[in-house]
Amino acid sequence: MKKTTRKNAKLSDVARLAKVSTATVSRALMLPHKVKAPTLARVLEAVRSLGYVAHGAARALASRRTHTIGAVVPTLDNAIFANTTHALQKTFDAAGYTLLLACHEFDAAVEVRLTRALIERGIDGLVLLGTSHDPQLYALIAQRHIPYVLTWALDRSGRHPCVGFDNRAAALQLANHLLDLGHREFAMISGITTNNERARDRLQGVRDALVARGIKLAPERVIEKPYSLASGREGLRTMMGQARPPTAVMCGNDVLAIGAIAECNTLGIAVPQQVSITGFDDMEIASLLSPGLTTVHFPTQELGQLAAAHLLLRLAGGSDERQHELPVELKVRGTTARPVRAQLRRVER
Amino acid sequence: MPKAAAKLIDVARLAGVCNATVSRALAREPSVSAATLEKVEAAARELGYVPHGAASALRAQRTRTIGAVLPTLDNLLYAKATHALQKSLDDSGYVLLLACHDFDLLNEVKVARSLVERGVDGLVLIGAEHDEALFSLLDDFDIPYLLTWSLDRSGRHPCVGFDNRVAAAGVANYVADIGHRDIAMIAGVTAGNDRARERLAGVRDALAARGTPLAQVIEAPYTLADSRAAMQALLATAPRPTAVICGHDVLAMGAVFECHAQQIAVPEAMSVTGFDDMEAASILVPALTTVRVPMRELGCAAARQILARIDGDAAACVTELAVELIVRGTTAPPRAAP
Repeated sequence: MKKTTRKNAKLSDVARLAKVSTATVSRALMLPHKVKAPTLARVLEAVRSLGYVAHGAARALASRRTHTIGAVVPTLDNAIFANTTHALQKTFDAAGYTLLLACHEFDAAVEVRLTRALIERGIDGLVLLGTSHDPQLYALIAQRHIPYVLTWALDRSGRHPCVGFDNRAAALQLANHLLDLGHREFAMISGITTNNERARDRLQGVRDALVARGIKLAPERVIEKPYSLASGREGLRTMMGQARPPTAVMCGNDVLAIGAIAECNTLGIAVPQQVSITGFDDMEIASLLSPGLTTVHFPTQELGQLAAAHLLLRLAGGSDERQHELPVELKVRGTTARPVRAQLRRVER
Repeated sequence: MPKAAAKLIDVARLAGVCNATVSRALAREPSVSAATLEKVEAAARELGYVPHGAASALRAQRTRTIGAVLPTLDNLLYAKATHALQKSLDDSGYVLLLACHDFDLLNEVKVARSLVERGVDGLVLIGAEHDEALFSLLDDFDIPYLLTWSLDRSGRHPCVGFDNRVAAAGVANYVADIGHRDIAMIAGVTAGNDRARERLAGVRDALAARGTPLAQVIEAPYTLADSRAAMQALLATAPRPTAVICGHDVLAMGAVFECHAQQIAVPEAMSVTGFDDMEAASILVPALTTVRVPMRELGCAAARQILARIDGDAAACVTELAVELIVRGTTAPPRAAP
């Protein structure tokens, strides 16, 4: 019954085989850097040969430390989130923490449920995406005293630690670029703004930039769509189908923008000659398209590293500034140009 | 000052039941009536009570959690199937926790061990190639598991997947059928990745059988930059291949972008094929010829199977899903030699 023996291997069996005390085994497993290398090697060898696995549940009860971080993100189906999450994972991994991930698919109730499940499993810290969450979620975190960090957006209330971008300022920059080119007829294919302050801030930034130059974004010139290529195509068709089509279509992220450009190709609308298109995020593909996509670069990998470092510092007992803002950068490429009408006016003059 | 965390006894008092009933209700034991369960849950919610998971896992030995270990997060390939898996598990009251191993099979053992230690009822893995230590771990702890995306040829492991080799052979035969004789491949990195290896083998075998062996193979990680570099190398070879079969849509997209950059017309001067039929493949002009993989179906079937195995139903060991060649605009017969 070899299997049963292995399954039942206890800490004391490991200690006996490694010829050390049980306390040393437990220290070696929990704090490997505090144990001399030869001892550590002996313990790990014994662990391997006995097939010993510290029962996480029991270990968590004893130490209240799980060396696990939970991250709850909207979806993996977006290269940009995947980018950040990948960087989080790498940084936590290097520090000896395992990252467990759950996706709520843009559903606030599911987000609460998943976070609860992660906390029940035993996590030392939590990474959330965005600042807009169900009050139940914040209540849960507060009750359980779980260190957490919000990412991707900045919490203006100052109540929550966060590492993020100023999405509104990014949108302002992009809209001003188009205004400076002479565009006056704008449309926006926005992400769904419900429970998503990133989408909301981007839309608000565009509105604010236009208002500052005396232009109002008419209700029929704004459409909210989920982040997908198909939505970008649909949104573009709706906007360009209007009696007076816009000369600039701003999209809530690069995926929507790439979908919009694909639809322009299908409809035979020349980009940027007949319509300028912009995105947000600067995915890898944005610079490879021809023409290249004008967008705003968000340092998403850096965001993941910084968020992880922030949480690790807090777990180590350090305190940290609550707000980290990462700079964004306007990337002017080939999908934006002067509007046709403005060019005509110039010729007439 | 933060409120002290609510205890089990507080929930019992508010719900008007005894402690034991609260723990039985929260462990979802069937002996608890629906009305009582609702009362207990309402009280737990109101007080913000969270059972200490570790303690309740030890007691109930059921965590209603499924773990999935992915090769990478940095690739949309697995996103659709994972999404479908997640939705199906959610419908059954299970939570999906994900971890990733970065195409490192030893790291996969470590990450899987961590999930097992946390307490999962079942584990979903990607691909058929894994370190033996992973299977020993699952065996030692009697954790039901499932391999996905591939078919296990050893017959030892339950799996839901498709035949990557046959699908790749189909692509190679199509490209040869339209007249190409000088065919190269940009494959995924085959070390530790049986999907990439099977796809390469399928292309190689099919072409060898027709007497027009695969001219050249470059392995590249699944990124646009790496596939562009690979395509650059292929374009610099003499004679230049007339068709490049890619092991993944991301590789094919990079290859097409590189052709654009060098002003090589696709498909007139170069045919390119992908694999997986990602949504992004449809934005290429011309649209990408590729193999459609039923990602949603894969995720749903995986959820059904892992739950069945947790319930002790070990039947239906191998589920093979169908794939389909989608011919679009990036393939055409080669130009006649001048």
